[in-house]
Amino acid sequence: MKYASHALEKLVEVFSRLPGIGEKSAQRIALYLLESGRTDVENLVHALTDLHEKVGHCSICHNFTEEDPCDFCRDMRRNRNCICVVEEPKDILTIERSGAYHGLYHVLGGVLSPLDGIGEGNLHIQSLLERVDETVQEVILATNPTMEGEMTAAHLSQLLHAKSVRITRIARGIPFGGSLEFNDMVTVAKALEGRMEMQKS
Amino acid sequence: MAILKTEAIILKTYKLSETSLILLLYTRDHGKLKVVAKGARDPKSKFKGCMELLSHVHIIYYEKKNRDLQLLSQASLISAQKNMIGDVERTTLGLAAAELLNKAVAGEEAFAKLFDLLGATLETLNTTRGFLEAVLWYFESHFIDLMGYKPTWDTCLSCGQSLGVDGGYFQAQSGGLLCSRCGSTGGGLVIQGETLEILYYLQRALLPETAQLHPTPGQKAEIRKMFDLYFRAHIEHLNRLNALDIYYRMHD
Repeated sequence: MKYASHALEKLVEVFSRLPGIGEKSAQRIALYLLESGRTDVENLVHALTDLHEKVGHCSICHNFTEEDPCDFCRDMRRNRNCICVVEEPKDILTIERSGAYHGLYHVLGGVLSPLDGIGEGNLHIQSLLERVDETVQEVILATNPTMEGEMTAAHLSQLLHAKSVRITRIARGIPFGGSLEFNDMVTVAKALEGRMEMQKS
Repeated sequence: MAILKTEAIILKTYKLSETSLILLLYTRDHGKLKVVAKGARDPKSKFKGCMELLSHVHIIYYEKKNRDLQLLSQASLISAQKNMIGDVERTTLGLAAAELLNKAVAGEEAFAKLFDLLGATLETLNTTRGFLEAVLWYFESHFIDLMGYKPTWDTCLSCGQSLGVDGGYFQAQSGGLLCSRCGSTGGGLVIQGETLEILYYLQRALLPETAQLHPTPGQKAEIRKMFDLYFRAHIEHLNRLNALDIYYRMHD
């Protein structure tokens, strides 16, 4: 046994399973909690229990939520004619942080991954197709620009073309503050393909 | 610790921690290899743009003999299979070839011919138009040849008679076909004569030409079934190719 207590050892082991936490960090957190007051620990326990008891998935967009439908789906101030399709709920946080989008979302729950046997039936694609009715004017495909993300976007685009809706794909290219010189050839090629007309100032 | 350089094709990637990736590679000089690309998912990473599935890359890595996971030092793109990006058919077929190689090849032995076959198959899928599944069939038929378990396509396993327009009965376990007379008692998967002609053609054709094939639905079904039975019978632990299942579901 590494530690003087089984409980401490168990806690370190549990924390080390969290993403981005190694054994040393897990040990530091566990020792910090051991030295914290009882209230702090109880608050943490309640927060963790609530996470699993209260947080579920929105039946419309599949985002994490405490109430069904989620805040985004209920918010009548958002642009309800536009749906942005993302891979995971965390992608919504990133888009919201940008402040550039005010429409609705749809979480696929992953991407098509042929090597792992993940096909159309494993993702929330059918519910997306059901959501896209005559009130929806645009669907933005915001899957990641990876081989699998692009394949998923292409497949969705194929399925959505049967509906009279504008289908757009988020742009790919040189990141803001980046340098052309240090970009790979695929990024540069995609940036050139997706070049835009300069507006008259 | 040695610093090694080689060409590689990315067969599979796994996320590691917040920003890193583990890559499963098939290399020209060292066979199958697993490397960790530290920080590869960071947008500012030096590996940016060359860590995608099926990319053909030039790599430099640190090799420790007693370690399963080697450390990637540098990577540069040779070919990114640009036309595959966003093309479901080309991508799933390319991934099926990579998956077959991954499941059938175990060790780190170099096999340049196999590397070249995979590279040429991906390149053809990337550039050719037409019936692309035949490009995978070409890969499969030459793959089993290179791996040393090529079936006897042209003569009956039992009586030695030439198989022709009458077709035959495919026997996956025995590695070949029975003629119509021997097969009527021995059984097996029925293969029509025209389907056999396609298999002979795949043996002698140039890779890009194979996409010009126009098989009937019946011939397609026979060839698919035949390769499936053969791989299951001769490659350990290969129940099915996930990528091919997805291809059939999405394309048919």
